[in-house]
This record gives sequence, C-alpha cells and structure tokens, in this order.
Amino acid sequence: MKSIKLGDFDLRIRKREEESKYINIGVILGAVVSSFILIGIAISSYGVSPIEAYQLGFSYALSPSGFSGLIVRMIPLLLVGLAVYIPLRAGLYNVAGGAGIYGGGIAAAAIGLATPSFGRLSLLMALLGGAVAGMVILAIPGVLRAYWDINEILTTLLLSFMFVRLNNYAVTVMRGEGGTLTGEALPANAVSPTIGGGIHIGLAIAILGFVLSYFLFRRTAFGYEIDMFGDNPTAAVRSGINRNKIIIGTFLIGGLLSGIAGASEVVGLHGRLLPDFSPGYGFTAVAIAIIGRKNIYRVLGATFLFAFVYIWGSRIELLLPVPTAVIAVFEATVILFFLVGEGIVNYKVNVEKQTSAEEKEVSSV
Amino acid sequence: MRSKKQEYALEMRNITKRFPGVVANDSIDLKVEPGELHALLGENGAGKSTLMKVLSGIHSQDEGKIFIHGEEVNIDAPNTAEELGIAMVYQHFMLVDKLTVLENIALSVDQPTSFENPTLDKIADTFSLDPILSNLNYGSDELRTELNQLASKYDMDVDLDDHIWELDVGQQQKVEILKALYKDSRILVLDEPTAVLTPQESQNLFELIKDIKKDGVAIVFITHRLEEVIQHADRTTVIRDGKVIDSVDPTQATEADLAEMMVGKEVILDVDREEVGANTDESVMMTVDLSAKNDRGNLALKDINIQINKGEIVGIAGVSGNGQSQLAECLAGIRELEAGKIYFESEPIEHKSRLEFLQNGISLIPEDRNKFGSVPEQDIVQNSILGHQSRFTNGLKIDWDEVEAYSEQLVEDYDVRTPGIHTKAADLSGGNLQKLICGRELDNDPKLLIANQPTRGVDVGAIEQIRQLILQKRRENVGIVLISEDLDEIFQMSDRILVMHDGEIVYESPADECDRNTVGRYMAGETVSETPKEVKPKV
Repeated sequence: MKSIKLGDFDLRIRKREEESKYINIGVILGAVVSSFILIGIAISSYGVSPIEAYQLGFSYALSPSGFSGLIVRMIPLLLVGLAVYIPLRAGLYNVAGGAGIYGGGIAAAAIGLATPSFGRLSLLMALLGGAVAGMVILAIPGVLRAYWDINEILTTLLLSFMFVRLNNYAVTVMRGEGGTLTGEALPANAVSPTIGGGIHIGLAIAILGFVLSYFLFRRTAFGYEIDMFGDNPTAAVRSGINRNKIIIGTFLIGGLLSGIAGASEVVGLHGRLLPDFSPGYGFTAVAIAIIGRKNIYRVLGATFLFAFVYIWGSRIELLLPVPTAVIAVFEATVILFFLVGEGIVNYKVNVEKQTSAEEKEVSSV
Repeated sequence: MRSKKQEYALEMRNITKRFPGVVANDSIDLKVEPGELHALLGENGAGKSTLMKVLSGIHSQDEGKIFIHGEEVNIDAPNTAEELGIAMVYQHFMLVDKLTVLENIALSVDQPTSFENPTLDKIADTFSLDPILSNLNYGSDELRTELNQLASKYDMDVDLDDHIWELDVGQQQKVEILKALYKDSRILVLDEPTAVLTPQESQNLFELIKDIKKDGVAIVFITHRLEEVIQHADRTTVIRDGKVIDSVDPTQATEADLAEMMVGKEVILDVDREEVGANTDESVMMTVDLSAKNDRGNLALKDINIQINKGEIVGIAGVSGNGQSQLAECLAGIRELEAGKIYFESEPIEHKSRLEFLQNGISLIPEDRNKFGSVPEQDIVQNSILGHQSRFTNGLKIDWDEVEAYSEQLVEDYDVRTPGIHTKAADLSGGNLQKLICGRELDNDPKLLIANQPTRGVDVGAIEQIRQLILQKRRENVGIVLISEDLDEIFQMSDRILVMHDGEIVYESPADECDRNTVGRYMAGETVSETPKEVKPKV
C-alpha cells in the first residue's frame, strides 16, 4: 500500500485482494484499442484519416490475399514467439529470436544451394539444418548463463545484432550471378511447395511446434520442471531439479524453433537468402511472449494480433503516405499499455479528498 | 479495579471478514483495555492475522464495527490506522537495512533528517547551501533528543547511529517498538514477536512491554506459545476457525486448557516416545571431517563427524545461525562440501547430485517452507510432487490424473486443510503448507529424514501432527536428523542430542543422560574452552 499526497488529495494504491479472469482479457483488449487510437493520432499527423487507414487494414485482412498474407506472417511469429515464451516460463529472457532466424536462414540457404542432386531430401535437410543452426547459436547464451551466470538478456541481445550483420555478409557470399542484392535462388528441390497464395510448409511446422509446446507444459515432466524453476528456482533446485538442464534445455528449444522459423522463411517464402529478411521478428516475439505470460493460447492470440499489424502496416505504407515505422510504434505501445494495465488491475487506486479528518470522500478509480 | 464504565482502548465488535470460499473472521469480538497485554491465541489460519489486518486497514471488514477509545472509526487504509494511534510490529520488520536507526524512524514519521555524508557536506560548503539544507532537516536534532529520551525512559539500549544491518533481530524489533512509541501509538500490535528471539531476548521484550503497559498503551500480541500467554498476558482471546472461543484470564488457566480451546481437542503436548526395538547400531549416514562454507564464503562447518543410525532421532540443538542449516544442506546433497566425506549406507555419496540423494531416499523438510520447500504461486497438485515427479513420469509423460489422485490422498492422509487441491500453496496457512511438505517428503519411503525446524511458526495442532509423523517414521526404522531451536522439541523427540556452536559439534550425549542446563550452556558457547580456540587467519 502506497500513499501519494497531491495537494488536497491522497492517492492510495493497494493490492487487489482477488484477481479476475475477465480483467486480464480486458487489459489486453484495452491495450490493443488504446494502441490503435494512439497510432491513429500518429497517422493523422501525416494528413491521412486514421479511419481510412483502419478500414484499409481490416478489409485487406478479410480479403483472400490478405488472409493468406496474414497466415504467412503468423508462421515465423508463432515459432519465434514460442522460442521466447518457453525460456520465459523458466524466468529466462531470450532476446535472440532474430539470431536464431538468421542463423537458421543462412544454414537452410547454404544447404539448399549445396544439395541440388538430393531430390526432395534437399528441402528436409535445409529445414533440419536451420533447426540445428538455431540450436547451436542459442546454446551459447544458455551455456554462458548456466555455467558462468552471465546475464542471458545481454548475450542474446548482442547475438541478435551480430546475426543481422552476419546474414548480410552471407548474402554477399551466396550472391547469384549478375551481382544482385539477394542470395542466389535455391534449386526447386529445396523450395517448399505452396498452397493458397503463398502458404508454405512453415504452416505445418508452426502448428506442430504449437502443439508440441502445448504438450510440453501440459503433459511432460520437463515442462513441469520448467514451471517450478520459473516460479521458485531455489525450491526447484533444492528438490533435485537440474538448473543447467532447464537453462540450456529451454534455450536449445528456443534455438530449434527460431532456427526452423528462419529456415522456413528462406525455403518457403523467399526461395533465397535475403538481406534483413526478418523485420524485427525477434523483438516482436518478446512482446508476444510477454503478453502470453503463462498461457499458450495467449501466445497464439498475440501472434495473430502482431501478424495483423504487420500486414496492415505494409498495406498502408503501400497505399497511403505513411511509413511502416508505425508498426514499431504500435508494438511498443501495446506492451507499455499492457504492462501498465496489468499494474493497474492488480492494484486499486483510491483518490481521497482530505476535506476534514472525520468526513472523507472516497471515490474509486 | 475495572469499572464497567471504563472505556476500552480498542473494541472490535462483530467483525466478519469473508474471502472467496472462507469466512476468515466470523463475528469476532475483541476488547482491550488501556495498559493491558492482550494475547490473541489461535492456530495458523484461525483468523488472527486477518483480524489484525482489518485493524491495521489492510483489509476492510464486511461487517462489524471498530471503536478506538469509545469512538467508532472507519479504518480504510494503513495510514488511517496510523493516524488513529495503531502501530503494528510485523514479523518481518519494515526497516531499511542501509539506513541508521534515526534515519529509519525519521523516514517513517515524514521528518527529514541530516544524512551525514562527507560528499554532500562538501558540496553544501562549496555552494553555501547550508541555509537550504538546514531547512530540509528541520526535525533531526529534536527527533534525536526525543528518541534518546524515549529510549532511556524505557531502558532500551538502542544507538540511534547504528545501521539496521549492524543490529541483531532483537534490537531491530526494539527499533520498531521505539518507532511506535515515538508516534505516540496507543495501541501496539505485535505479530508473533518472540518467534525470532532467543529466550533471553524474549525475556527482555516482556520487560519492555511491562514498562510500556504502565503508560496505558494497549498491547495486542499474537502468539502460539502457550507458556508466554500464561506468564505474561493479562487477558487472552482464543480464536478457532474464525470464531472467538473464549476470552479468559490466563492466570486462571493451564496450558492444557488453552491448548484445548485453541485446537478443540485435548492435545498431548508430551509426545509418547516409546522405546522401539530398532537396531540403533546400524548406520544410515555418517560424515567424516565434513567442512563447508556458507553462502558468503565463510567456513560454516568445521570437521563435523556425526553418525545417524536406523530408527534413531538425532536432535541437533543450537542457537540459529551456528551452522545447522548448512549441515542440513550438506546431508541432503544441496551444499557442496569444502572437505570431508559423507557415507550413506557405507557408500561415499558426497560427490552426487541432490537428485541422486533424493533417489537414494534422503528427504529434507527445509526450514523455510515458502522459499525452499514450495513454489507458492503453484497449486497443491504441482507442489505435492516437487522433487518426486519422476515417480509419476512414464518416459517423458507425466500422468496428471494420477498426480491429482495422489494430491487428494496426500491432503487427506496428512490432514492438509484446504478448499481444494487446486488452491495455490501461497494461500495455505503455514501449518497446512508445512503438513503438505512433510507429507510429500514422508510419503516417498525415505531412509533418512532431515527435518530442519519442522514445527517452526506452526500451530499447536499441526505441531503435534508433525511430531507424530516423525515418530512414526522412527518406528519404521528411518534415520532422522531433527534440527530445532526449540529445546522442548529436542528433548521430547531425540534419542541422541548434539549441540552445534560456531560450526562445530560441541556436545553429544544420549538424550536420557543429559539435562537442559548443560545443553543450554553449550548452545551459548560457554563451556567450549577445553578445546583451544581456533586461531583466525590474518587478513
């Protein structure tokens, strides 16, 4: 309980005694709506009617091409979102989703290019190679944290910057003939078949990843140990739960998921390695995992939300004089509003006017 | 002489407080006169703390009225309670470690004080800020004088310039009381004040309370310890299951009377520790020259040699902080050894992991149930298999249906009182959580049980149950290490008594061949002089 004096008023903040399910959903909706309103203001500063911008987004998302675009965006976001979410349940922050994506993408492109004579096996090898690359990369912050207690937020953040550059370098190595700015196109055998306007094999992988993550926490001992460690590491370790196994294990899963996300972008969406092919997915994934908290369905919901915002942003950039940077703004404000909102619902603020000592007017906010 | 007209310092009338699924307080009446030491007695979860939280404005009552000196008041927030002269001293002190006593008190009464800091002084000199600064620390000299007067009036040895971290628990408690006195509180609530104190410190506290009473301050004092109530309280109100059972003059009651009121049945405080035909020569665990460091890197255990036999309770007595917890951790495979060996059933085991210790049947009931023994944010189901999850795991898969059935069974067998198995561990009362942890550790057929303060902060009913559970394991030929600061417990339960002082075993004797006096002296470290004092290395 805190009390802040503001002139005649007393702001009294106290923890709520009971939690409500509906309040949590309310917080998310509130954060989303307020963020839409806030970027509406930003959009109108470009001389564009925000209503028009919203309409454009919703009608596009409901159109067939928009819908498949939404699914295509959801694939990497869901996989990387889970790659952050799983370590987060153990209380660990993986900000290296981007590193996993790029590492996985580079590996997949290299394997795809090197194995033109392997038939369809080439696609499978590219995907698996991407997953392994992601695991190798994320093993680094995991091992550093487990054995030397080096803060995983710092190492993963730095890794994610490193791999943006590394990817750009890899593109120059794999550049096709004629000096294009992209990597060489993969042989057809390494490229995923698509359905319904660009939906590729990544969808099946993402669904599988989601289902397996669900079972990890609902049905396995390892999931149980992750949860226990996440809520009380001391008690968990004293009960024989292996700390290093949890830390390195969750990071390896994170690496696998983000690596395969990058690989599926390369073999499914682009068909080649591109510079900057991950528009901040690694960081959006952190937002997704934070909104997810301890509920995997919320991860799915947040993935949908951010995928929508991505396609909406690219749509309005295309048709209206508004930069895509509004997406970054939206992402930031959703998280801010969400965290503030969570604080507010867990605490109750009473404003009290100090008229006299005996009679106090109390109004709840 | 009490006249009926005399007004009560505090009167709580018909207080009812409901939480989802429970009535924590069911029309409770509490009357405390000025200058009275009123003991609030009850099991964990009986509703004492809720009642005091209502009084201090943390909870607001659903029904009922509160009168302070005869006037009805509406306590809607802790600040209001403070303005009304109600002071709480919690078990966990509300003090800032890095500040001095004076600064802490100044902080709580909204009075700035001079924070003596050479750098700031220099800045103040250079920029001639003194006029401004002297304006800022207006209260400091007066505050200091007043506090010194108060401290000397009540004969409290408190140095206002000591930092909180330099003080021991007893002194910190005095600072809290001094704070309350300075605020001129007329009602002082002490939440289990002696739980953290040594017997000597407790004695000092009661002397201090006696002096405070003389000035007409009403004192409400929450406790489990029956002998304290009988020795010191003027009146006691016994609460059970959220209801007042009775309010009596404790001098007219015996411990057994009070205990019965508290738990609703006759409590056998003398444990029936029959001799068992256990083969007490067969060792379960043995340590050889065991040494270990504490978390700060200082040597906490020095050359410990102990043996625990099957069907035997080895009681380890000692003042807290003399290495008992580190010993428990070493024996349970949690703490790394600095030197020495541990043999479990004649096999060296000290290099193995905690998990392997567990799988060998070495169970630990830790001293802190919230920090070490459970995951408070998770429910009973999750907590009931912590450390033993492999029992319910088939391959990778954990069988939650089986776990839930097991939790139901555990809750029933070990009498964990809860609305359901999906209640969070954090929402269980201390005694019930402790029973859950004991159940979990005992239900997995341990060969060695290490119980570190198993009954600390637990109500009489649960104490008895837990002691019976431990004795049952003794009958089943389990080797048991019982670490306790409660000498009664040590003497009632143990077959062999060891005393720890300063990281060493300074005394060992069969329980029926030693007396409390001797043990007490060794605990205080008085008679260790036969062995030459260890020379501390020069730094």
